Amino acid sequence: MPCPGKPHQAPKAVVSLFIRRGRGLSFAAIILTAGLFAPGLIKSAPTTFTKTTPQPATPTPATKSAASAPAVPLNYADFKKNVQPFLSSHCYDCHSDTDSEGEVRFDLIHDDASLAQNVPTLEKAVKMLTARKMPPMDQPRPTEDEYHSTITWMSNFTDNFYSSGPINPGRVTIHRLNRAEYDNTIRDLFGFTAADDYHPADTFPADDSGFGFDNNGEMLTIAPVLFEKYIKAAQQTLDKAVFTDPSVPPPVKEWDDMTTVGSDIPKDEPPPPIAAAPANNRGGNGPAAPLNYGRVLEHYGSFYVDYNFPVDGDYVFSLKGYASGPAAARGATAATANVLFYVDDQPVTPERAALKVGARANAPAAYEEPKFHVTAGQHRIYISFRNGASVDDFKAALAANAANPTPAPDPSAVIPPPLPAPADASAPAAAATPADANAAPAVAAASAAGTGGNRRNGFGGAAGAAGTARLGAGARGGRGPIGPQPVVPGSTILGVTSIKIEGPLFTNAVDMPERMPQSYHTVMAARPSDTLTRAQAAEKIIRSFTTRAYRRPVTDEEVKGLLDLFNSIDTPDRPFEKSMTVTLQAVLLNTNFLFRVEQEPQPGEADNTHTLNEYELASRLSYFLWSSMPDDELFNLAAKGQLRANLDAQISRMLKDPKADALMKNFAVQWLQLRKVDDVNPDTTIFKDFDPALKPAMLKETELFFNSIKDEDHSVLDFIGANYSFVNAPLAKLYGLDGNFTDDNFQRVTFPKDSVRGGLVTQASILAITSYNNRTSPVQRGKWVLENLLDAAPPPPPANVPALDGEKELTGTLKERMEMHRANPACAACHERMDAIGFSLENFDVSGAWRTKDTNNDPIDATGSFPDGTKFDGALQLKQSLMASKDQFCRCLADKMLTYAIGRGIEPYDKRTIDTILSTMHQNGDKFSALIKAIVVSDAFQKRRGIEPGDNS
Amino acid sequence: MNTPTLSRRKVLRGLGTAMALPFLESLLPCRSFAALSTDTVAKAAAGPRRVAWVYVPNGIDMQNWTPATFGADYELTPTLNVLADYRSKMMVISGLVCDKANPNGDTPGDHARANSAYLTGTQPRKAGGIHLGVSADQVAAAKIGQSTKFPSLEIGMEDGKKASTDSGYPLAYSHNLSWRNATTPVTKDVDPQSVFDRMFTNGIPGETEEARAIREHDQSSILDFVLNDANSVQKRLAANDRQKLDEYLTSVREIEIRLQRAKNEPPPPLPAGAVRPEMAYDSSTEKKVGISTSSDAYPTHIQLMIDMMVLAFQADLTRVITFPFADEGSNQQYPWGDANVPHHGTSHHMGDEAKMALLAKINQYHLTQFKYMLGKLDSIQEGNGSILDNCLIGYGSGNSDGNRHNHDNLPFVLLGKGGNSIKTGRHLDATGVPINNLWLSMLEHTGASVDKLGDSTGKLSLT
Repeated sequence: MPCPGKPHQAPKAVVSLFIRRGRGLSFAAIILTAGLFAPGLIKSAPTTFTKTTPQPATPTPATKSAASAPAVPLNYADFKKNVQPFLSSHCYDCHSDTDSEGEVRFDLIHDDASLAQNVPTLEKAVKMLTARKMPPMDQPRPTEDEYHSTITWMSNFTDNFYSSGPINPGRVTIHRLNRAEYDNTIRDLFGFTAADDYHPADTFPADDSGFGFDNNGEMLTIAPVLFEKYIKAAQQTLDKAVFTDPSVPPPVKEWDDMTTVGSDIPKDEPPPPIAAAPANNRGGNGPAAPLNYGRVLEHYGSFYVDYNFPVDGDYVFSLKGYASGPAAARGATAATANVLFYVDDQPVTPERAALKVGARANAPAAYEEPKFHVTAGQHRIYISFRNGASVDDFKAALAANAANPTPAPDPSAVIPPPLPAPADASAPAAAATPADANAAPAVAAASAAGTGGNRRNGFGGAAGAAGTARLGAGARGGRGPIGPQPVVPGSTILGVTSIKIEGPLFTNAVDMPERMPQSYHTVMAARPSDTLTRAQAAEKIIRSFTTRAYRRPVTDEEVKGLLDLFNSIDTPDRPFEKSMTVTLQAVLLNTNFLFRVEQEPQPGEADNTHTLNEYELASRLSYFLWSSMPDDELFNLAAKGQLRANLDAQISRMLKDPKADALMKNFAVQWLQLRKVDDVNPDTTIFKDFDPALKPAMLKETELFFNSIKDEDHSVLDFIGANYSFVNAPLAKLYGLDGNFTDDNFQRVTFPKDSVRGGLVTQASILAITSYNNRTSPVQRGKWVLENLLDAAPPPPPANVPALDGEKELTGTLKERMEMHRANPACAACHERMDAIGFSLENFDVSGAWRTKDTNNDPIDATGSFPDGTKFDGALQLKQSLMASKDQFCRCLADKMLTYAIGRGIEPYDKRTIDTILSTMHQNGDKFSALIKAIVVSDAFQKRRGIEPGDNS
Repeated sequence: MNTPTLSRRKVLRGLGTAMALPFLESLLPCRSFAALSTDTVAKAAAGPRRVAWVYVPNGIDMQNWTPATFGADYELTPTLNVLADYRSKMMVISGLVCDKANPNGDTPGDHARANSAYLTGTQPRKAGGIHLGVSADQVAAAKIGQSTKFPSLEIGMEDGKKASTDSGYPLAYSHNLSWRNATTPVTKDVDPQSVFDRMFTNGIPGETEEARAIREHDQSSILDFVLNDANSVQKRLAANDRQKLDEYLTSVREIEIRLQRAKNEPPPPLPAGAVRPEMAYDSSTEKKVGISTSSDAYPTHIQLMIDMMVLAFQADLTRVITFPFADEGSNQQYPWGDANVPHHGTSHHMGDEAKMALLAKINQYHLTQFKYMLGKLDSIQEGNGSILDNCLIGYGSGNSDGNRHNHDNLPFVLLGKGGNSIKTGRHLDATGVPINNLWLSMLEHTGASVDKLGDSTGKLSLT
């Protein structure tokens, strides 16, 4: 179908090159194989290859062209002449009366009308004949020629029928969640986040793929080993969701302005100097961060704060600070500042903590007490400091020092000169400008002596403070003589920059549900209480969880079944959560969760094409765009029956959601075969410049490129002809781009008009995955283009390809050798199509770098020709000719996207669905979102065919 | 068959296992045990018979494989010479045919076909979805698998997560040797830790009897529930959907049987010296290393998998194993075997002597791994001989010459003596014999006799 307003420009010869693939793939291949035995046919009648989907003799709109009738008349008279003899010799025995096998009857076909009515029967027959499953093995076999002619006629007839009959939405086989869908569904069902990084399906066996994608219902099987993994995953997931750490940390009260903090000293001692040193600038070194000296206690004393504790519970007290002393000044590390927290008159630990010298005022260290139980209400919290291990030690040290004096450090070099304490301790202190703070030596700091264990959730054990010696019991302030810089063990100065109370600490999920992460609430929507029995709470949970897990309202009967299960495993002394997680494992192992079930309203009834209900539609939509379950908005719309009416807005919303990255990860990566990038390993003895960093980069480029088309809603033709891409430094080097690029950041670059870059075909990823380790492969490149951009994959090579004459003497350039290869008529038919495209990309080496000579130093000849004689030269002209066949590309993309969207292979009857999709898409400028929307509103996506006769066999 | 009737209970006791018979009776066909003759039971005292299939993909360099003459005095070829130590316990069988690996009307895709037709003798087709037939190992599993924790064990090296389909055949065909039935491939486990855990952790280490009882009650309640639910869902579905549900039901039931067994048996004792395998982690991907195609960890990985296989036989957790050393079409490179080239690419040697030599290197590297397996099995005493003596291990490929993709004259060597029931130490001429005839014979010597499997036409005498 041409884009509106534009003439159909695809040269006829190009069009005829690209054989459409449909259900007739194997069938077309059979014809081809047959053709190979008569090579003459290929030259004289190339249309042999297009029998299944004949191409027009003259350019016509695609709708018509793809539907053009074969030369043979397709009516009952012709059927009688060409097909009936086969049927009567091979089929009528079993398929011609009311007892017919598999409800397939050929005897009902007796005129044009009944022939048309029996298209499903013919389709079924084509399948069985193509697979050679019929006639049964113990019956006389038709010849291969008989098979071919019968299948050909029937296929032509059904193709023809579907281009005019009612649109058939097809049937999607019940679809087991594949690995990506399982992971995403678990993520969204429980509300896990990226931070959880939880991927239970990593341990599942690989999913099989069909028609190029691993979300094909037919191919997704369940082996016992997979079910074992499901059991493990269900247990793990529910345990992770419920028995988990709280996500919300305990409330924190912090005083970082020390001027607001009270201070105190023992009543029987004179007050020590209390210093506060506010911000300073480093002399001469330009502006620096203000340095907070907090407030300083010299020798002894305490700070305190008053706090109203909200509830009884465990709290953690901590401070940030530094300490200094003579020992530190001498470079020793033994100096300590002995600190103890008090709650009112009660010490938090039995022993004073010895804080190591180490940090400086410009990098205060944290000191934390172990958790401590505090009752609710107003309490005063003290930080008590004294600089000796004990009063006696202190005195002894003083005496020793007096006997053997050691030069005392100049305190001004240690800390800023303390200012006279303001009369009111809470008044702001005057400014001081100390020497360069970095020069301040030996500011002792508190090491986090009391940390350890996971206090927050209350499960871990808290390590005790690394206490040294005891202070007199009950004393909370330091005691000791005041004097000029006594040289004593321990620190003389404690500077405190902030005080913090953290708590209450988490004890259990029941008491503090507000601290629990989303995953906990997803499961524990209710809890037993005085007014709710265990069973009643369980029922609430079952109802809310299962509805989301099954992606539709759970039925009363289902709830009852799960509740019975709960009752059978629950005991009063078992934690409610445990009984609940066990019960809900049955939900995660249930067919209704593991499969996307679309109910058959009337099983067994033929031709009951029906529209999916809104919940089923919501699931199809979310698994298509997000590879995951519907979110609340989709659920709510479905519940109100308004989803179908709001599809356009919902699709736009969904495409903008980060979850739509799944389209890139699951659709694009499989469509473009990007998983192969992992296997790209150019032989570095030949390609010495290959940078291993290119491998992840080339993948990233194509991912970003795809996402740009999706996110910016470009025309899908940009996949072929875009003039931009995304590169980092290694890629820029590979592409020969000038500019400032880094290894980590990808930049969008726009290519000049005559650049060979731009579009998928010349991206390094595509060029690399279609190369061997030691050389490029025009065959693979050509095949990639045919298969993924034009949906015209050549059939695989025939079995037992005869060895080429004189193959060992093959010489010359790669191209010359390939041409000799193509001289064999058995190979030429397909290789002419593949190689011609591949050779035009020969200017790119195995890593995608531009080259003008190949590895043998022979000049590159990037010319090629199509069988009709059309010549072209190089990648640019290849892209031009691809753009000329843009209809074919659009059809290919629509075909692939629909295959992925509905999880089944495209059948001949889908042609009209795709025609409609293309027409809608063209009317909307071929925009990416238009393609998505057209697919979603198509019959294949919205509807489901009932069961046909014979489906049950 | 003239077999004295034995009560099942008696047979089971003879096999030294305890089972929940009423449970099994409801699930298993009586004839499962009919093939067990008194003779078999008697021999079981000296160690049960086991059967295994080791598969190598992409064919073999046949000029370095096939011995020139038949009989006992044949001369070992350069490739087979790797197994020289086991010559007396080995039977080279040449000329076998796997006809269903040929296109027979289908279009190309010899790797997928060779792999899937190998043990099934059934014609794979591209059209019409997945449809094959039961494989030889699953016949054995159904016949002799009830007495062990796992009826059969499917292990391998490549998880297929990166693979693409072979010429339009479903991926299932190139990645599964083992087929429960026409539509259900038995997925293999490629993670040695996972295999180990499945084998040896009935419960949770340190779990009390009471806790275990509760857990098992939980689990069987859950499984009962989901089975019931699935049955009711199934009634509302169309036929092809029902088939998918059947796969589900089969899997759940198998787990249920295993659970039932676990209830009645203590966890299998870990053979002396056996440890849970260590797997290297790739810190960049945070995934286990070595469980995919083209792995650098291949040598470690394959030895761990072989260790698991040996443990499974040693602890009698299964008597039936399939183990492909790589999947059909694999491009694994083998620098450790002096063949740092992609296997599949090299197998298409086009008559190039250098490539054929490299292919022979790969063949020999695989046989070296096989030899490691044999060494382990032969070192564990059982009765008057070794475990190997009670095994029949078939080693071969569904492709002959990887370049031509021919499926006749298949490379095959049989190791082990099937409890001294076969005549080893010779090169057997089986030209034109369907390989399924050999499977029938291997099954017979393992106590799992059937009359027909796939395209078999009779049995190939091994005595």
